[in-house]
Amino acid sequence: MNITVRQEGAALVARLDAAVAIQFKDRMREIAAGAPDRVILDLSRVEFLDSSGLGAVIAVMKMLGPERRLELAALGPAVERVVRLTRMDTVFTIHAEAP
Amino acid sequence: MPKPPEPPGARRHRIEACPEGVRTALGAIMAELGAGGLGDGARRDAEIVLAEVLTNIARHAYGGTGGPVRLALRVRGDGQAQCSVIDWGRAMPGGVLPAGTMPDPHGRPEGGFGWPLIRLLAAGVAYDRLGRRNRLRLRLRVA
Repeated sequence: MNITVRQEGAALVARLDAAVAIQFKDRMREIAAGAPDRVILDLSRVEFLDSSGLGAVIAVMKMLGPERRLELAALGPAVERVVRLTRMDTVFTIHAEAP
Repeated sequence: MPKPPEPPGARRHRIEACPEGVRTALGAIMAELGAGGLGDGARRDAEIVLAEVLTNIARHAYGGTGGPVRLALRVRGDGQAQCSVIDWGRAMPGGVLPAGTMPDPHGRPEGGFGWPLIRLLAAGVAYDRLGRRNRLRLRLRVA
């Protein structure tokens, strides 16, 4: 039996950048406390990601620890550009759409 | 004090070097670039470059304490945008631009992507220190 746990956090901000990176990490830390072993981050509403935002996503991946995986979903063109150029697409499992 | 050289016919922006100031400036600059006829892909790349440049100034040149930035931007006839960015913060270490080698993604780095992204996405970048000013000159390409 497959059980999907879906936890809807606060809607992700339109811009995941230096202005919100710390706030994002803090909020994700709260959510991660009760997270299952597979976490999918729906980025469909994120229109812009800079290296600070990407660093925050990577920090969250590390925060989840080796036993829980962070996966990314629904990358818009600007987000995908940064994820591919930094080759972080070789590290994250990326889904075309949010589940 | 001599005026720093800027591209002729450029639109000028006064920016506060802090995360919110960077956001505000990018909003204005992107609206301008849209009007200047840059394609979506080019605008996307230009926004990434300028975000990284301005965030680096806020974080490293001014060390997070804020300070003024002057940005001048001109879309040229050949479809490239020419941009100069001036701040009065600390000089680049060694007086030169960082090498810009992309960190190994499998090391799961939380930083160090800024300059590699700038170097990948800008058509050209040059740095000089003019008295107490840092000046970056960027060329941004069209898709």
